Amino acid sequence: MLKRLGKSAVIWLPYAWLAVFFLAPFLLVAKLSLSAPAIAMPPYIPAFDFADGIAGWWNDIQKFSIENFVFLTTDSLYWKSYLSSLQIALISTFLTLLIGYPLAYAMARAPRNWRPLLLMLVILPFWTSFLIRVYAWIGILKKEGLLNQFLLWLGIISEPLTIMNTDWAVYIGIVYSYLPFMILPLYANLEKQSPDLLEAAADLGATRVRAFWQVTWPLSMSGVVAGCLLVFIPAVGEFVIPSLLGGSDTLMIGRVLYDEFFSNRDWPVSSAVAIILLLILLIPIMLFQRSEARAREAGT
Amino acid sequence: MAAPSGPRRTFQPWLAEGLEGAPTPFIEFRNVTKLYGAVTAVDDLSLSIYEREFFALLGPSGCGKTTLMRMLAGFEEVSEGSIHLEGQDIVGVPPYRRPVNMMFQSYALFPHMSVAKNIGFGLKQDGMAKGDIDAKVAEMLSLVKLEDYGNRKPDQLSGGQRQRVALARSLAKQPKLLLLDEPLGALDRKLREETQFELIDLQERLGITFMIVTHDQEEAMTVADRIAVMDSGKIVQVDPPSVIYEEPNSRYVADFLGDINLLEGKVTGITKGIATLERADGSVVKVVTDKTPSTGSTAWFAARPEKLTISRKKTGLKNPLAGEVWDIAYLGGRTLYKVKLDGTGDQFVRVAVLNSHGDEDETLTWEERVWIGCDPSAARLLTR
Repeated sequence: MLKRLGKSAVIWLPYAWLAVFFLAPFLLVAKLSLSAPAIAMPPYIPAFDFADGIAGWWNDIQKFSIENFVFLTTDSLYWKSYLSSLQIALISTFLTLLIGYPLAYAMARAPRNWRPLLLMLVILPFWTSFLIRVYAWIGILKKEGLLNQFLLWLGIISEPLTIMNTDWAVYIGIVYSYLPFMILPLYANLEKQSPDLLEAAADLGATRVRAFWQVTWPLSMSGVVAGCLLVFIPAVGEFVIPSLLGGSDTLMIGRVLYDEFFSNRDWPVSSAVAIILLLILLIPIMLFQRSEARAREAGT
Repeated sequence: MAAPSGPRRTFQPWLAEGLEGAPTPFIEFRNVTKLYGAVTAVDDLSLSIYEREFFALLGPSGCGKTTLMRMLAGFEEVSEGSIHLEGQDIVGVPPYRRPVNMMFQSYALFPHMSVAKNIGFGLKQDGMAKGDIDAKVAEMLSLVKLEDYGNRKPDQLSGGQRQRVALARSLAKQPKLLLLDEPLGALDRKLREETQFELIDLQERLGITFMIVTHDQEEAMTVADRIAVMDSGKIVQVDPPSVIYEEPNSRYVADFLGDINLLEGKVTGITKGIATLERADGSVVKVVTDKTPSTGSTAWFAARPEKLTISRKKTGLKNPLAGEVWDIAYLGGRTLYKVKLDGTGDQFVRVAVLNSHGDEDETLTWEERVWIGCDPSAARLLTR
């Protein structure tokens, strides 16, 4: 009996965890997105009260409306922000891949006893607060910052570049912050690849470049997909980086959400913004899961 | 794979080595040395291999046989010396430009490609037209009897099938030389034996020079025209299997290939090609030899277990030595007796007796006093 209880607990614990920490907050947000704003505390109606009982709840539920979602379509700010977020996230993901792949490749090919150290170096930035690290980039990117000083000193430029408060600063910030999320899955994948395969390719007449594109690259696809999604998904909703490094014209949905919530105090609309964002992100997440399932099936 | 193409031809181009009109070696290692840091993997090694030969490199792990093969494939550079393929120095030629293909011990099949894509990989690198590739792949698939498996992925195949795909892939480009790195190591015993004969047959039909690296002496003896026995980066002996077995040039070779009994002694004299050895306990053994070791030097009387006879009586035995049955191993076709010889030291000999009679009464038992005998011409004198 106890044993059976223990067994079912093993199954139900993760579900309970998901229910408490994922489903419940999600339902709260979903409920909020269907409510109407109010000058009250909390700033929306209807506010559920356990004391009202089932009848009172039913009454409240009837007050739900999709007005907030309709509102999102009327103001171009929202869809422009979504599109711009997706674009920024896509470009930064691509840049992260471009930088992360060679790094992961070099790490996987490094002498075996170096690898733990290299891995450590990739993870090391996590030991400092994310916010502080992004702040540090201000010191580097601003007009009289380290980067401009350095380039001026080298004589590459004659007057300081304006990087701070542009999309470029946002790209740099995202690529920097999320690079480890790209490198780690890629490294795990590339490190597993047998060096025999490259020797076999060379033996059969493939140059190093061809062997890479025909063997290493396709075999690393699951790592590429995992890394890209791990970067893309949080980058779409990124708030700190565009706020600190981006310009006033850098539109990102994370900032819109923040402004709606804290400046406008319009909790229902910001909840609607969050729900739509979640729906948009569901597509790549599903793609990710499909590729994972396929990778498992292939036994790699 | 295919019906056997008759008995093996007599093929001994190496016999003419050094004579006039001798065939040019197909592969020549000239004073090749390979160093890994301070470790010498291959030590000033010279070796000639002839066209259409099935050549085996045999030795324990770490003897340098794999390094030697990898240098032929181009995965390792030589530290000193040179390697010639058809008279051309191939040192420095990258692996993808060598007319040499290798079958890897791990098979190294590309897991993301179908069997057909794997086999066609090398042809695609050469820029062959797609139709031609398909035709060649089909030909290779039928060669290894996997006609229906072209669309499968490697992980959907059994170990034996994977081995065949690896073989087909390495043969698809019709290399001048095929290198086989422990090709049958991952197969179970029965399949391994079958495949050994298929390899021989395939090599005969395709006329490609095969070089196999193995630590399995039976495998080397089965497939090879000649075997090179290696030890710590050096070749100890290169000869056909029967010569390696019957005329080993050293205790190392004798011990590595098959079972051998070694009796140490001092040479007390050689008369008419018969050497006399005096053992530590004063007993004397005689052995036919063409070697001329100096009197007083240490040498070994070497005899395979099947060359010895075991008997309860001393009469009629040559080189009789007394002892006691220590252990008996019944192996079906033959019985192996482990006999402890009288005298100082724990000197054991193993005697193999064919079980051709089935007369159980004659069977010796444990701790029985016996005599061991060996014809002087059946034993060998080893001086190192």
